[in-house]
Amino acid sequence: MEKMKILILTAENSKKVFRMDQERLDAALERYPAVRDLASFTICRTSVSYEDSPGWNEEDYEKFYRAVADTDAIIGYMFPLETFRERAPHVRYIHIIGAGVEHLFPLTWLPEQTRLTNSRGAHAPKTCEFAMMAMLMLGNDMPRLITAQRESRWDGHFLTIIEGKTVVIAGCGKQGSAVAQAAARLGLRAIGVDPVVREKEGFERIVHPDALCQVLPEADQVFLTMPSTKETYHAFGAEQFAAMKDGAGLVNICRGKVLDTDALLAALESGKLSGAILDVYEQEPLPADHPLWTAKNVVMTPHMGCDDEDNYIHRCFDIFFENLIRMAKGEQLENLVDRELGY
Amino acid sequence: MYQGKTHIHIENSDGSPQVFNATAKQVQDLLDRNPDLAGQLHITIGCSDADPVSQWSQEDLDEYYGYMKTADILVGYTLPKEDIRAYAPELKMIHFISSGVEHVTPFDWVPEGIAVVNNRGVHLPKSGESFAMFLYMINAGIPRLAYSQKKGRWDRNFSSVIKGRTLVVVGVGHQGGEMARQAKRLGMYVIGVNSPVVENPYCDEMLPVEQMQEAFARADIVSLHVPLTDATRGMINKETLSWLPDHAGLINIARGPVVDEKALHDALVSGKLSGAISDVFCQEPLPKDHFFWDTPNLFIMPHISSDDLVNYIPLTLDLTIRNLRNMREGRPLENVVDLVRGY
Repeated sequence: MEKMKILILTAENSKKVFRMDQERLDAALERYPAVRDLASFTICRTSVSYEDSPGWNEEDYEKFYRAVADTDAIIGYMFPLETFRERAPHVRYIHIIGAGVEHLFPLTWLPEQTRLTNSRGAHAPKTCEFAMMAMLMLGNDMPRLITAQRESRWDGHFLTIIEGKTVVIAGCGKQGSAVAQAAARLGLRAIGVDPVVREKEGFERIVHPDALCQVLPEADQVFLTMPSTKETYHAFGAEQFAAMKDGAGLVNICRGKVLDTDALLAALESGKLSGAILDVYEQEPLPADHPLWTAKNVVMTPHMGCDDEDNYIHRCFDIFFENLIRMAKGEQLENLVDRELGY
Repeated sequence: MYQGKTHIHIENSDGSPQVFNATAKQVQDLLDRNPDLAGQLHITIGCSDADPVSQWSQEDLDEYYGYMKTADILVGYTLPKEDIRAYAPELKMIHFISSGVEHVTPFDWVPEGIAVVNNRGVHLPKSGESFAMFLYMINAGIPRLAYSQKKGRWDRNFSSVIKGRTLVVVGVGHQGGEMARQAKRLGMYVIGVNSPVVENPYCDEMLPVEQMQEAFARADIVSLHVPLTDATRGMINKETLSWLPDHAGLINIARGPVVDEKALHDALVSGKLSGAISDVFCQEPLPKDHFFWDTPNLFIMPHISSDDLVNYIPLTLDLTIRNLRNMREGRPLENVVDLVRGY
């Protein structure tokens, strides 16, 4: 059988957490020796990532087009979409090293027979840790204390433990499940919100998004863990804040667009929300003059909370390699993106 | 004894935060939890205007001495140290509601026949949550990110999971032991530093203080839990900080003077330390003009990480009752302070 030709698309300026190089590839091949017989690899390293601003130069385009012309599968994050069908006629499988693929929307560029998978789940261990930290930080009023420290203010006030409190997790996919696991480890109750109402480990119950405002009054903390789609744009806004318990906390670790930032700022200002922890923003990097920088009671991390610097790419390779093996056996792939749903 | 009943006197202070003051409701709850002692206890609550006895009014003193005439047990933070036997002829136990008792050292004022008990252990449920949070925060670089946030900087500083990192716990008593336990739960490798070398189920290794340098050289995070004594004052200084690897972080939940604050500031400015969290300071509240307010990558906690607003007094009073039972049945008391060592 002829080996699949795999293109690893990466960039010179890639951060360590996302870097794909020979060393990490070799480590993955060590873990999955069977893949050696199935595939051959080419690393295409452009000067910057395609989505960067400014993006690719002429040489980068040329390098990519040359490599992709004869490629069966790609692991990467972003590349020119409009010319894809024409330039990459043989590609039948693409793996994205991110959980969300909304940067590829609309998926009309994607040939019908080409399968697209994402890396949901690769973040799980780090997400669980970040969620535990965020739960403890909200319980300990860290957002308020960060504001006090910024103002050189000693704000001694005592609090109690978070064990036994309730967290509402909006989105019960891989990320939401990691948050539910964090809740279980700290002894918090978890209520899930998801279009697919089902029983799921870690969740006391799951309700439909139509019932979000009915469960919000129970929450001491709310975590946003849903995919970013047309339907979830600003899914959390003024109406949802109003339904929350006074003094509850909010964490957004999925995508900035699901949260109405103006409504968030109002809820922080009024004290309705005791604190927020944000890892994602409607615009990233967050512009220097954005009001969030000076808002009170908010902890901001620059979209790194769920990414594991040492292990993330290894886990992405694991998902990809397991899928290559499935493909060779003619089995269904894991982590397939549904073209209609967009996740 | 008061009319044949064991007299427990609780001395509150209006100068203390509410978390440290017992309420009538909490006393009633205590009695409800111990129905077998119904009718055998006389519990009184007094309240001084201020914390240091030097600031007590005549009225405070009169009220206190009145109660102490018949008191068997005193529960409080401070007390007039002169003529105790004269004003409290029946006193058998003084239960200090703090775990550190350096504010009443040296113990040359303690008459024969009175046991001095501290509150170590009472903080553990709340401390445990705070400690896990501190470990996560240091590992995720939150002190640095909070500083970047203050400066309006988008600072994508990635981190990895905490599992497998090394924690050095300096001072393995109740609090240090709880820190070690939390660290093990998070999958860390734990080195305890304590003299004398003690056994602890949560420490993978235990070294004497003389070998602190060896422990520090292997630390990702150092956490301080030693009592404040002549030997521990300034124990974290320019030299001992230089023993740490460059990426290490520091947590101080012991007492402020254990750390040379200027040396810590310098280590954070130079980048020798990646971050620090301090819950204690040489002067508390931290003065408005203290240099720490502008120290990079230092997270300031206003000494609140161990005290549980809801559970602190109930847990304290439970300890008092356990010791009363121990006393009655001739068993050794819990948490007896070594009057020579001072803790």
